[in-house]
Amino acid sequence: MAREYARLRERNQVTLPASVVEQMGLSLGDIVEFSPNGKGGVQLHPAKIVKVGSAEARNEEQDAKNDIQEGRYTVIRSVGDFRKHVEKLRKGEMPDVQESETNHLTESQRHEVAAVVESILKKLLPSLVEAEKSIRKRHHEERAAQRRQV
Amino acid sequence: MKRELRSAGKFDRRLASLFEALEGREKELQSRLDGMVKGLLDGSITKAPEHHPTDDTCCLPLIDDFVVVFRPDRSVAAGQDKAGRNIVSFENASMFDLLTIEDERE
Repeated sequence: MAREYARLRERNQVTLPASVVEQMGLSLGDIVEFSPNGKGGVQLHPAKIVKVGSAEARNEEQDAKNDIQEGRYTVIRSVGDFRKHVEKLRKGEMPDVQESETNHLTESQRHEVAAVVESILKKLLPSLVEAEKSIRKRHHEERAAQRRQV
Repeated sequence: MKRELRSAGKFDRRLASLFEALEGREKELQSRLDGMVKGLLDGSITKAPEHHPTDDTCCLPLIDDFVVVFRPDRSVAAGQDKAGRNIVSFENASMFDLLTIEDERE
């Protein structure tokens, strides 16, 4: 397909060239999706809901996993949160991307981190006790020396 | 147990498309979504058919032939349903990733 151009009109309207409509297999009432191409531009796709088990579906699932991995998600903690989220989507607003309260760690991962921290602390504890004893001893000796001088 | 959902950007776009596609049935769709979200958050939905065995994804029917594909952070195999589909149990999951919406029509 040759490069085509369109002019932006009032209310951000653009007419898609007929060749683009044909190539994308679009018809009246279809929805299109604009997604960032990572280079400052956007890509245009038909926003159809794909069939379970198709190659397109696998690609979509992988895209969604990438969204999650790269932080393009919204945290939902209640039905109220979800309704607000849907309302924004339907108005075409970008949802607020929030950090998860769990900082991306699942409960089992948090237990693993706690176990690692505990084992490190247990290993460090004897040397900390020894260090404290040695500091106390040194202070005691310094005070005794000061008293002798007095 | 405190649970959270993470709604992927892709899921959001598919959901917006579905609202457009089901114009006039928005309330029905919202009500089904609310039921699903509530069930996952409060732990009343604990099982779902397996979507892909290799990546721990499951799916739940939403409306008509559309299903929500999601991924719990913890799941175990829980036998098969009457249709012979593998069932996954995620009662101990604390996070669910909403990934996309797909069409099961033949």
